[in-house]
Amino acid sequence: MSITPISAIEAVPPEAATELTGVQDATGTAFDQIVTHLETLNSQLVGSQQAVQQLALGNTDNLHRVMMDLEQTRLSFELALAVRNKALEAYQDLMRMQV
Amino acid sequence: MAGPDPIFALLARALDGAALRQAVHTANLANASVEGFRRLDVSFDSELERARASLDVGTTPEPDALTGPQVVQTQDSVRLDREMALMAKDAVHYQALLGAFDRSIGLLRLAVREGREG
Amino acid sequence: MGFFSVLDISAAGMDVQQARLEAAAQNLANSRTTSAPGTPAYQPLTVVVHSVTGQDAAAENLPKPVVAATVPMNAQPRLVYDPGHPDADERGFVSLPGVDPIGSMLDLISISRSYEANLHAFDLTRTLIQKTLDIGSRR
Repeated sequence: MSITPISAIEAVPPEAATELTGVQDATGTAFDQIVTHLETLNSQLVGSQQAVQQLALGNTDNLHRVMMDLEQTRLSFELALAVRNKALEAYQDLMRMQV
Repeated sequence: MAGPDPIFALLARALDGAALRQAVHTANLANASVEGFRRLDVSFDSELERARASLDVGTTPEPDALTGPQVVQTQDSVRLDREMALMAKDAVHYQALLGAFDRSIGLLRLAVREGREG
Repeated sequence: MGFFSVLDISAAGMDVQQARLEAAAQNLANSRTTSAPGTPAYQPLTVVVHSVTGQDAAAENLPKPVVAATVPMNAQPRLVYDPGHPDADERGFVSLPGVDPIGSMLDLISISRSYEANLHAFDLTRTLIQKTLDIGSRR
């Protein structure tokens, strides 16, 4: 039987390079989305804090709105935590991959 | 209140109305002994009626399009028993709205936690 | 909507009924008092209640009841023929305060109902506040 000699490694074709860049773009976009979500969450938190401040200062108008606001902010925060955990998992999975 | 779901803004609006009703019933009962006092009411139903109509057609009503509930003067005098009955009914509605909000948030929380409790 | 201001309205309502109760009870208690001829007899009291608005912006300018005055009614005394009575006049008539006892008792019942209505409203407002504070707390 004849053994096929090892051939030289071919240069990575240009299309594959474009694909790699594509993946990077996708990751970049995902991070952008996360950052946007965090900004929204931050403004929600600030808004909730202001509502609570008002309550502490004796302004009890719209008590129901304050409570609803706090609940929704809490939910947004939990969502941000879940996304962060998922992103962390994804990163760890990526790091564990054998090269 | 920019929430994950526009239904929350609608619920908040509805709760504005329900809270105002409790206040108006309270005022009617408190002022019943005043000579010549005529009971107050809350006008909100026409707004809700339009919102309900748009729901039937399949579109979500814009919560901001609903103007706030208003206190209106009527020409009727206060009858204690009737006022108390109306107050009880509106109080149940208030609690129903709170419950709807609580459960809606709970469902979303379930989704975020992927079914894990607590 | 300032729920806590709404509690104030109920409290004011109860205050007013309390004042009316005191006046009605006093009228009833004094309904059979007499006085010597020529001296003024007991004048039954009436409580004048007014609605006040605009004092509390948080309560959406809803009217709050307030006791404007507690005034004697200038009711005509009832004359009862009892010549043996120490306070009888020269014709044998005794002057009794112009209090309508049946009317006073009916007033007491109606005042009592009003008071309870205000108390019920207060209680209900308190319950709604608690329920509002409870949202989200069970999870």
